[in-house]
Amino acid sequence: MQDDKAVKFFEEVLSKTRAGKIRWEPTADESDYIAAIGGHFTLSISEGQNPYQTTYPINLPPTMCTLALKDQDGRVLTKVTDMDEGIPERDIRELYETARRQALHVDEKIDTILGELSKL
Amino acid sequence: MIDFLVRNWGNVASVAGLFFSILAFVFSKRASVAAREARDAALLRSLSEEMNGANRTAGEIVTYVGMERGDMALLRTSELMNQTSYFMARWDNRLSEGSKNNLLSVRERLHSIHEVLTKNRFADLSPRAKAQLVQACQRVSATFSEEYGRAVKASESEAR
Repeated sequence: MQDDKAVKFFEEVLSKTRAGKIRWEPTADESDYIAAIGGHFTLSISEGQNPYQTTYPINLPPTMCTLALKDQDGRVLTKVTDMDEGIPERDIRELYETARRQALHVDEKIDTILGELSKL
Repeated sequence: MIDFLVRNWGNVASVAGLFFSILAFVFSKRASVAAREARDAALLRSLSEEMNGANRTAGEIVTYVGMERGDMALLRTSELMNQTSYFMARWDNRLSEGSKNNLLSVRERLHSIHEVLTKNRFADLSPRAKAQLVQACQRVSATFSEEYGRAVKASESEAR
Protein backbone atom coordinates (compact mmCIF):
# COMPACT_ATOMS: atom_id res chain seq x y z
CA MET A 1 0.00 0.00 0.00
CA GLN A 2 1.27 3.44 -0.93
CA ASP A 3 2.27 5.69 1.97
CA ASP A 4 1.11 9.10 0.70
CA LYS A 5 2.95 11.02 3.42
CA ALA A 6 6.24 9.28 2.64
CA VAL A 7 5.75 9.90 -1.10
CA LYS A 8 5.03 13.60 -0.44
CA PHE A 9 8.12 13.78 1.80
CA PHE A 10 10.26 12.20 -0.90
CA GLU A 11 8.93 14.54 -3.61
CA GLU A 12 9.60 17.59 -1.42
CA VAL A 13 13.17 16.48 -0.67
CA LEU A 14 13.78 15.84 -4.37
CA SER A 15 12.37 19.23 -5.38
CA LYS A 16 14.39 21.14 -2.75
CA THR A 17 17.53 19.21 -3.67
CA ARG A 18 17.04 20.03 -7.37
CA ALA A 19 16.70 23.70 -6.34
CA GLY A 20 19.94 23.44 -4.31
CA LYS A 21 18.14 24.37 -1.08
CA ILE A 22 19.40 21.40 0.94
CA ARG A 23 23.02 21.37 2.13
CA TRP A 24 24.09 17.76 1.50
CA GLU A 25 27.36 16.68 3.09
CA PRO A 26 29.58 13.62 2.71
CA THR A 27 30.19 11.07 5.49
CA ALA A 28 32.92 8.52 6.18
CA ASP A 29 30.99 6.13 3.92
CA GLU A 30 31.30 7.15 0.29
CA SER A 31 27.81 5.94 -0.57
CA ASP A 32 26.08 7.87 2.21
CA TYR A 33 25.25 11.61 2.25
CA ILE A 34 23.56 13.59 4.99
CA ALA A 35 21.82 16.93 5.56
CA ALA A 36 20.52 18.52 8.76
CA ILE A 37 17.24 20.42 8.49
CA GLY A 38 15.72 23.01 10.81
CA GLY A 39 17.91 22.05 13.77
CA HIS A 40 15.68 19.04 14.50
CA PHE A 41 15.93 16.54 11.65
CA THR A 42 18.56 14.73 9.62
CA LEU A 43 18.16 13.37 6.13
CA SER A 44 20.38 10.68 4.72
CA ILE A 45 20.50 9.28 1.22
CA SER A 46 22.52 6.15 0.65
CA GLU A 47 23.15 3.54 -1.97
CA GLY A 48 23.62 -0.06 -0.89
CA GLN A 49 23.20 -3.63 -2.03
CA ASN A 50 19.65 -4.48 -3.00
CA PRO A 51 18.61 -7.11 -0.41
CA TYR A 52 15.71 -8.26 -2.63
CA GLN A 53 17.96 -9.10 -5.55
CA THR A 54 19.16 -12.39 -4.10
CA THR A 55 15.63 -13.42 -3.08
CA TYR A 56 13.88 -12.35 -6.29
CA PRO A 57 16.52 -12.14 -9.03
CA ILE A 58 13.98 -10.86 -11.55
CA ASN A 59 15.39 -7.81 -13.30
CA LEU A 60 15.99 -6.03 -10.02
CA PRO A 61 18.88 -3.56 -9.93
CA PRO A 62 21.89 -4.76 -7.90
CA THR A 63 21.85 -1.61 -5.76
CA MET A 64 19.08 0.22 -3.94
CA CYS A 65 18.83 3.86 -2.81
CA THR A 66 17.37 4.71 0.58
CA LEU A 67 16.26 8.10 1.85
CA ALA A 68 15.89 8.19 5.64
CA LEU A 69 14.53 10.83 7.98
CA LYS A 70 15.81 10.90 11.57
CA ASP A 71 14.71 13.03 14.52
CA GLN A 72 16.87 14.98 16.96
CA ASP A 73 17.44 11.85 19.05
CA GLY A 74 18.70 9.91 16.04
CA ARG A 75 15.55 7.77 15.73
CA VAL A 76 14.59 6.79 12.18
CA LEU A 77 11.14 8.28 11.51
CA THR A 78 10.69 7.02 7.98
CA LYS A 79 12.60 5.31 5.21
CA VAL A 80 11.89 5.54 1.50
CA THR A 81 13.45 3.20 -1.07
CA ASP A 82 13.01 2.52 -4.78
CA MET A 83 11.10 -0.62 -3.81
CA ASP A 84 8.32 1.48 -2.26
CA GLU A 85 5.11 2.09 -4.14
CA GLY A 86 4.90 5.60 -5.63
CA ILE A 87 8.68 6.12 -5.57
CA PRO A 88 10.04 5.88 -9.13
CA GLU A 89 13.49 4.31 -9.20
CA ARG A 90 14.63 6.98 -11.68
CA ASP A 91 13.68 9.77 -9.23
CA ILE A 92 15.37 8.32 -6.13
CA ARG A 93 18.52 7.64 -8.19
CA GLU A 94 18.39 11.26 -9.37
CA LEU A 95 18.10 12.38 -5.73
CA TYR A 96 21.12 10.27 -4.77
CA GLU A 97 23.19 11.51 -7.71
CA THR A 98 22.24 15.17 -7.15
CA ALA A 99 22.99 14.93 -3.40
CA ARG A 100 26.34 13.30 -4.17
CA ARG A 101 27.26 16.00 -6.70
CA GLN A 102 26.28 18.77 -4.28
CA ALA A 103 28.06 17.19 -1.28
CA LEU A 104 31.29 16.71 -3.21
CA HIS A 105 30.96 20.06 -5.04
CA VAL A 106 31.36 18.19 -8.30
CA ASP A 107 30.03 21.00 -10.51
CA GLU A 108 32.31 23.66 -8.98
CA LYS A 109 35.31 21.36 -9.36
CA ILE A 110 34.43 20.61 -12.99
CA ASP A 111 34.13 24.38 -13.61
CA THR A 112 37.60 24.83 -12.09
CA ILE A 113 39.13 22.12 -14.23
CA LEU A 114 37.38 23.53 -17.33
CA GLY A 115 38.94 26.92 -16.50
CA GLU A 116 42.34 25.30 -16.15
CA LEU A 117 41.90 23.37 -19.39
CA SER A 118 40.94 26.50 -21.28
CA LYS A 119 44.27 28.06 -20.27
CA LEU A 120 46.26 25.21 -21.92
CA MET B 1 6.21 75.11 56.57
CA ILE B 2 6.05 73.25 59.91
CA ASP B 3 2.42 74.17 60.14
CA PHE B 4 1.85 72.69 56.65
CA LEU B 5 3.68 69.48 57.58
CA VAL B 6 1.72 69.09 60.79
CA ARG B 7 -1.56 69.53 58.95
CA ASN B 8 -0.67 67.28 55.96
CA TRP B 9 1.71 64.78 57.55
CA GLY B 10 -0.37 61.88 56.27
CA ASN B 11 -0.24 63.01 52.64
CA VAL B 12 3.46 63.84 52.83
CA ALA B 13 4.18 60.40 54.28
CA SER B 14 2.16 58.76 51.45
CA VAL B 15 4.07 60.67 48.77
CA ALA B 16 7.41 59.82 50.40
CA GLY B 17 6.34 56.18 50.68
CA LEU B 18 5.40 56.10 46.99
CA PHE B 19 8.73 57.67 46.02
CA PHE B 20 10.73 55.09 47.99
CA SER B 21 8.63 52.25 46.60
CA ILE B 22 9.38 53.39 43.03
CA LEU B 23 13.07 53.67 43.92
CA ALA B 24 13.10 50.17 45.42
CA PHE B 25 11.31 48.79 42.33
CA VAL B 26 13.85 50.39 39.97
CA PHE B 27 16.80 49.04 41.97
CA SER B 28 15.34 45.56 42.29
CA LYS B 29 14.66 45.50 38.52
CA ARG B 30 18.29 46.47 37.82
CA ALA B 31 19.53 43.84 40.27
CA SER B 32 17.43 41.12 38.66
CA VAL B 33 18.67 42.10 35.16
CA ALA B 34 22.28 42.02 36.41
CA ALA B 35 21.70 38.62 38.06
CA ARG B 36 20.15 37.24 34.85
CA GLU B 37 23.06 38.56 32.78
CA ALA B 38 25.58 37.02 35.19
CA ARG B 39 23.73 33.69 35.01
CA ASP B 40 23.63 33.81 31.17
CA ALA B 41 27.35 34.64 31.04
CA ALA B 42 28.16 31.73 33.36
CA LEU B 43 26.03 29.38 31.24
CA LEU B 44 27.67 30.51 28.00
CA ARG B 45 31.10 30.10 29.61
CA SER B 46 30.13 26.58 30.56
CA LEU B 47 28.92 25.92 26.98
CA SER B 48 32.22 27.17 25.55
CA GLU B 49 34.20 25.02 28.03
CA GLU B 50 32.21 21.95 27.03
CA MET B 51 32.65 22.75 23.32
CA ASN B 52 36.37 23.10 23.95
CA GLY B 53 36.41 19.60 25.48
CA ALA B 54 34.56 18.19 22.45
CA ASN B 55 36.92 20.07 20.12
CA ARG B 56 39.90 18.42 21.83
CA THR B 57 38.33 14.95 21.55
CA ALA B 58 37.62 15.57 17.84
CA GLY B 59 41.27 16.57 17.37
CA GLU B 60 42.34 13.32 19.07
CA ILE B 61 40.21 11.30 16.63
CA VAL B 62 42.02 12.96 13.70
CA THR B 63 45.37 12.14 15.33
CA TYR B 64 44.47 8.49 16.03
CA VAL B 65 43.13 7.98 12.51
CA GLY B 66 46.32 9.56 11.14
CA MET B 67 48.36 7.12 13.27
CA GLU B 68 46.12 4.27 12.03
CA ARG B 69 45.05 3.52 15.63
CA GLY B 70 41.53 2.37 14.77
CA ASP B 71 40.82 1.06 18.30
CA MET B 72 41.59 4.40 19.97
CA ALA B 73 39.77 6.36 17.26
CA LEU B 74 36.71 4.14 17.79
CA LEU B 75 36.81 4.75 21.54
CA ARG B 76 36.98 8.53 21.13
CA THR B 77 34.30 8.44 18.41
CA SER B 78 31.85 6.71 20.78
CA GLU B 79 32.69 9.25 23.46
CA LEU B 80 32.10 12.18 21.13
CA MET B 81 28.82 10.70 19.83
CA ASN B 82 27.52 10.64 23.40
CA GLN B 83 28.85 14.13 24.08
CA THR B 84 27.12 15.47 20.95
CA SER B 85 23.81 13.95 22.01
CA TYR B 86 24.30 15.56 25.43
CA PHE B 87 24.93 18.96 23.81
CA MET B 88 21.74 18.68 21.77
CA ALA B 89 19.70 17.95 24.89
CA ARG B 90 21.49 20.23 27.37
CA TRP B 91 21.84 23.32 25.20
CA ASP B 92 18.72 22.99 23.06
CA ASN B 93 17.38 26.45 23.92
CA ARG B 94 20.80 28.16 23.76
CA LEU B 95 21.98 26.92 20.38
CA SER B 96 21.07 28.64 17.14
CA GLU B 97 19.46 26.67 14.31
CA GLY B 98 22.80 26.72 12.46
CA SER B 99 24.64 25.26 15.45
CA LYS B 100 21.97 22.58 15.93
CA ASN B 101 22.27 21.65 12.25
CA ASN B 102 26.05 21.48 12.62
CA LEU B 103 25.76 19.21 15.67
CA LEU B 104 23.19 16.97 13.96
CA SER B 105 25.49 16.62 10.93
CA VAL B 106 28.45 15.93 13.20
CA ARG B 107 26.55 13.19 15.02
CA GLU B 108 25.59 11.51 11.74
CA ARG B 109 29.16 11.79 10.51
CA LEU B 110 30.43 10.26 13.77
CA HIS B 111 27.95 7.40 13.27
CA SER B 112 29.41 6.77 9.82
CA ILE B 113 32.98 6.90 11.22
CA HIS B 114 31.96 4.47 13.97
CA GLU B 115 30.39 2.13 11.41
CA VAL B 116 33.44 2.12 9.16
CA LEU B 117 35.77 1.46 12.11
CA THR B 118 33.53 -1.26 13.56
CA LYS B 119 33.00 -3.13 10.29
CA ASN B 120 36.64 -3.16 9.21
CA ARG B 121 40.10 -3.39 10.69
CA PHE B 122 41.96 -0.19 9.89
CA ALA B 123 44.67 -2.04 7.97
CA ASP B 124 42.04 -3.72 5.78
CA LEU B 125 40.56 -0.43 4.56
CA SER B 126 41.28 0.53 0.95
CA PRO B 127 43.33 3.72 0.45
CA ARG B 128 40.16 5.38 -0.85
CA ALA B 129 38.16 4.37 2.22
CA LYS B 130 40.98 5.59 4.47
CA ALA B 131 41.03 8.96 2.71
CA GLN B 132 37.24 9.21 3.08
CA LEU B 133 37.55 8.38 6.79
CA VAL B 134 40.29 10.95 7.38
CA GLN B 135 38.23 13.62 5.60
CA ALA B 136 35.16 12.81 7.69
CA CYS B 137 37.21 13.05 10.92
CA GLN B 138 38.69 16.37 9.85
CA ARG B 139 35.23 17.73 9.08
CA VAL B 140 34.07 16.73 12.57
CA SER B 141 37.06 18.48 14.09
CA ALA B 142 36.54 21.60 11.96
CA THR B 143 32.86 21.77 12.94
CA PHE B 144 33.68 21.55 16.66
CA SER B 145 36.35 24.25 16.25
CA GLU B 146 33.71 26.44 14.58
CA GLU B 147 31.18 25.76 17.34
CA TYR B 148 33.78 26.38 20.04
CA GLY B 149 34.59 29.73 18.40
CA ARG B 150 30.90 30.63 18.28
CA ALA B 151 30.42 29.74 21.95
CA VAL B 152 33.47 31.80 23.01
CA LYS B 153 32.24 34.75 20.95
CA ALA B 154 28.79 34.51 22.51
CA SER B 155 30.20 34.35 26.07
CA GLU B 156 32.52 37.30 25.38
CA SER B 157 29.73 39.47 24.01
CA GLU B 158 27.57 38.49 27.01
CA ALA B 159 30.35 39.49 29.41
CA ARG B 160 30.63 42.97 27.84
